[in-house]
Amino acid sequence: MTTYVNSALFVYTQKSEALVEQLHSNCFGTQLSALSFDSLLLNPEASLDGVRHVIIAGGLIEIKEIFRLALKYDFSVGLIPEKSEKKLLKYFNLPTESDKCIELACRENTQAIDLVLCNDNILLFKATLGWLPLLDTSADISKVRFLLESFKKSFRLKLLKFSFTTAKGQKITTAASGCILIQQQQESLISKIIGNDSTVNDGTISMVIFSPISLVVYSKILLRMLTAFRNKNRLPPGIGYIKSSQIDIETVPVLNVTIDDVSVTQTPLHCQVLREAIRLNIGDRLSNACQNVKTSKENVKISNLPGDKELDQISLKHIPIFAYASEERFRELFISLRDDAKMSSIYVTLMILSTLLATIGLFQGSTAVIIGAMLLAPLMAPIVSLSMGLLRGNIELLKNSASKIGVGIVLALSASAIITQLFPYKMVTDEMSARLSPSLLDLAVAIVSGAAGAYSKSYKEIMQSLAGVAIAVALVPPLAVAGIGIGRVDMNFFLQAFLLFSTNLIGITLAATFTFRVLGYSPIVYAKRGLGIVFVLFMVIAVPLYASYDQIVEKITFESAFKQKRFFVNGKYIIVQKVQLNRVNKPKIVTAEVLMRSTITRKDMQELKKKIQLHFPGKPIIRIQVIYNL
Amino acid sequence: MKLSHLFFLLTLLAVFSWFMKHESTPQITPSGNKIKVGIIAPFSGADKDIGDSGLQGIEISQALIPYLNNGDALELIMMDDKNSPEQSVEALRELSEKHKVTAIMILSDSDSVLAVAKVADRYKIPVFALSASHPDITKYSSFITQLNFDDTFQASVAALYVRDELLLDKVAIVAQSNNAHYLYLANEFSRQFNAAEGEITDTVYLTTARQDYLEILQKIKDRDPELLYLPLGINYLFAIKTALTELKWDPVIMLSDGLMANIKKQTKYPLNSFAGMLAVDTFSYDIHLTDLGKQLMKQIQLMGINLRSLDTYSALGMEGYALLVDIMNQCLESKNMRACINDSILGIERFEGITGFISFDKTGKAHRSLVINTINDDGTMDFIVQVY
Repeated sequence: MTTYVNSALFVYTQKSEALVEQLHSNCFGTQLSALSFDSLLLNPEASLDGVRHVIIAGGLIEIKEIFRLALKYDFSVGLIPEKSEKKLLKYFNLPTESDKCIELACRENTQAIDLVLCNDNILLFKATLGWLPLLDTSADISKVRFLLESFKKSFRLKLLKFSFTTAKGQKITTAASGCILIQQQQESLISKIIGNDSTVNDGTISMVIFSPISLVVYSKILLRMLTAFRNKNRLPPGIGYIKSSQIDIETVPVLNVTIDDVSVTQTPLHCQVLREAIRLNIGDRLSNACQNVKTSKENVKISNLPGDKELDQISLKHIPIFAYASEERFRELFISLRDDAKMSSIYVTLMILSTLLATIGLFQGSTAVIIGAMLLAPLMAPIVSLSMGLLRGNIELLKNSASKIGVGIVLALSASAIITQLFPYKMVTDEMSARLSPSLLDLAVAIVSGAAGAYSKSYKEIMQSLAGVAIAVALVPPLAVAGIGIGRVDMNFFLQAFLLFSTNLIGITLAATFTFRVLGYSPIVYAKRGLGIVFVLFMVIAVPLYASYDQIVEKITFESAFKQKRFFVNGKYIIVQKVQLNRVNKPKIVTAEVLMRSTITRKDMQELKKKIQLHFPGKPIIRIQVIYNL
Repeated sequence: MKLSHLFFLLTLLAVFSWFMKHESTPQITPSGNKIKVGIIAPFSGADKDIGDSGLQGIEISQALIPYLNNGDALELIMMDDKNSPEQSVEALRELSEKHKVTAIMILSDSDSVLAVAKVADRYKIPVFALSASHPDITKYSSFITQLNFDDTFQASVAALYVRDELLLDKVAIVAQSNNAHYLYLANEFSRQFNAAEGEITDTVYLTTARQDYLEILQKIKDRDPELLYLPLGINYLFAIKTALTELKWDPVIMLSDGLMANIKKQTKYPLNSFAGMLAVDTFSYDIHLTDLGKQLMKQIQLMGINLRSLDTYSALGMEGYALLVDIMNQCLESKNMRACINDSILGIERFEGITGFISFDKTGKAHRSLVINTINDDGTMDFIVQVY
C-alpha cells in the first residue's frame, strides 16, 4: 500500500510557481510549506531545519543543488522536473504527466541512490574529457548521420597521455583521444560497446577510454557501434573500460572536463562514488531494479589500449591511417620471423632441389614438373622476414633474411647452370621464352603473391604453404631460367630472366611490407629509410617493365585490329585467320595466317602489303602463311 | 631524399606526362568570314530520308570542326533535287551562278551524280559525291570526287564473300533494271562470281515494284540457289520479301549498299522480317573507329543524338564535310580555291575517315574499306567483316 509523507517542503522556481496551489490542495494528506529556490539558497540551514522531505520542481541545476543540500542536511527528495528535462525524467524513470509526478514526489518510500562527485561537482549522467567522436551520442542517431559525423570527426582525432588510478590503487597510463565517465549508460551508443550492467546504487562509476591508435581502429569501433554486436564481453580494439568506486584522471596537457554537458572543471579529475548517499522518489521500474543490488566489483579492461612503452613515441599529431604495434604485442610472430631469417641446411637442400626440378621442368616444357618445383621452394619465409625487417627497421632481421635470400639465389643459379651444362642439347622451350620478356603484369603477380605471403604469416589458421606456392610462382622459374642463361653462356638470356626475378622479388617484398603495415605490424616510428629504398628500387625496375607492358598493349591492339578483316587484292579474297606481331620494335614483324581459294602471286603479295601498310600503323614486315580453303 | 619529396617528384612527373599526352590543339579565332559550300540532296520526295540523314551528318561534323584554320566558317547552301538527274543539274547551275559556291557536296544517287558529272567541267566547281558509287561517276569530269567505294569493288567483294567465305556455289540475282547503279552491281557480281567458278542460276531484271513476283521466284527456287543477291530499291525488296513469305522460302539474302538505312526508316514492314539478311555497306555501329570517328561519336553524344538513329548517309555526310575542311585548309593561301581543292584531293594517300583510312587516285575515286553487315531483329545491323 502506498503511503505518503506527512509534511514536506516544496521548493519552486519561477517557472514552477504555478504548482504551489496544486500541491497545497494535494489529496495525499501531505502538509506542504512552499519556498522559492532563491529564498532557500539565502538561508538553507534555517529553511531546512526539521525538514525530512523536499519536493523540488525545477531544472537540472536546481535539482543538483537540492541533491547537494540533501547530502548535507539528510532529507529525502521528491522530483518534479521541468518538461524540458527529458533526460532527468528518463534517468529517474519519472512519469511525464505532472499529476502522477506530484503523486510520486509525495510518497514516503524513497530509494537510496549513489551520488558521484567529480572535483566536487555532482555528476548525474556523464563527464567527458578530450575527443570522443560520437561516443556520447544518443543511440537513436540515424546511421547515415552517424557515418557522416564519424567521417568528419576522423580528421580531428589525436592521442594524448592519460593516467587513471582506480579505488584499489591500480594505475593505468595510456594514450587516448578522450574518455567518458558515465553513471548509467542506458540508451547511449556506449551501451552498444560495453553493455549495460550498472544501476544507480551499485556503488561504482563506469568509464570508457577511447584510444583509436589508427583510422583503421577508429573504423572498427564505429562498425561495432553501428552494428548491434552481441558479445559485450569483448571490447573493440582501441577501447578500454574501467568500473570502480573512485577514479582519478590526469592528462598531459590539461583538459577541460564537461559534466552533464557543462564545462565546469579541468584535469586532474577526482571522481568518487558516494554509495547510497541520497534518497529519492524514483519510478517503480527503476526502484525495482535497485532492489538487492550488491556493490559492484572493480573491473579494469585495458588490453586494447597502447601500453606504457609506446607512449613516448606517440606524438600529438593526427592519428595515422594504419595501426602500429609494439614487439611485445606480437611476440610470437616476431620470434617465428627471426627463426625464418636464419640459415638452415633444410633451406639449402630444398632450394637446390626445387631449382633442379624447375630446370628439368623448363627443359621438358612440363608445367606439372615446374609446379612441383614451386611446392618445394622455401623462399617465402626469408622474404616475409625481410619485409618485416624493412618495415620495423630491424637491422638483425634484415641482415639475416637478406643473406639467406642471397645464398638461395646463388645456389639456385649455380644448380640450374650446372644442370644446363650437363644437358647435351640446350633447346629454348616455350616455358623458358615466356620468362624472357617481363612486363608489368609479372609485377602484378608478384605484388599479389607478396600480399598473400604476409597475410598468411599473420594468421596461424591459414596454410602457409599455399602462399609459399604463390610466391614461388613468381620466383623459382625465372631464377631457374636465369641459371639456364648462365649455363648457355648467354648473357642476354640471363639478364632478361634475372630482370623478371628481381622485379618479382622487389614486388613481393614491397607488397608484403605494405600488407604488414596495413595489418598493424609497423612500429610507432616506422623505418622510412628501409621503405624508401625498396620503393625507389621498385620505381627503377618499373620503368623497363612499363615499356615492356606498353609493348604488350601495342601487340594486343595490333593483333586485335586484324580481327574480322579481309583483303580484296587483284580480284582475290583473302581471309585473315590469325595475326601475330612477332616484333614490336621497329621494324615490326607480322606473321599472318590467311585463308584463300585462289593462288597468290608476287603481284598480289605486293598489293596486300601495300594495303596492310596503308591501314595499319608502323609499316611492318609481313610474312604470311596461306591455307587454301577448299 | 625524403620519401615525401620522392612522391612529390613522381606526382609532378605524372602530371607533366599527362599534360604532354593531352596537349590540346590551339583554339581557332573566328574571322567572321564565310565560305559558301553547296549541298545537293533529296530533301523532299521518296528519298527525303537520304538527304535528311546526310545533312544531319554534315551538321554533326560542322559542330565538331566549325572553322577552317584561318577562322573562316563554311556557309551551307542546300538545294533539293528530289533525286532527279535534271533537278540535280539545275541545282549545280544555281549554286555556281547564283551562289558562287566554292565546292559542292552531293548526296543524291548515282543517276543524279552521273548527270551532274557530264556537265561539271562547264562550271569548274569541285563536286564531292558522298554516297553515289557507280564506277563511271569520275569518268566524265575531273571535278568529280567519289567518297564512297565504287560498285566494282562492292559487287566483287560481295561475290567473293559468298563464294570464298560462305563457300556457296549457286546464287540467283534479282536486280532493278531501271537504275544504273543496281544494274551495274548485278552484272559485276555475276561476272566475279562466275570468274570464281560459282554458278549464277538465274538473273532476273525487274522494271517495276508492282510486278507479281510469286511466279518469278518460284522459277528461281526450282533451280535451287543457295543465296539471292538483290541489288534493288526498298520497294522492290518489300515485294520480293512478301512473295518469299508466301512461297515459304527462306534463302540467304544479300543486299547492296544503302539499303540498310532505308530498311531502318520504313514503317510498312516489321523490322524482324529482314532479320538475317546480309548487306554491303560503308558503316556499321560496332566497327572499330579511327580518332576522327571517336571524336565524331563524342560530338554526337554532346548533341544528344541517339547513335542508332544515324545511318550510312549520316556517316558519309560527316566524313565528306571533314574531308572538305581538310582540303580547304591546304588551300587557304591559294588565289583560286576551287582549283586548289580539286588539285589537292587527287592523289591523297591517307585521309582518316570514320572507320579507316581512305586514299584517292588521280581520277578522284576513293579507295576505302567496306563492311558486310547483318540485320538484327530490331533493324539494327551488326558488322561481320571489314574488307580492305
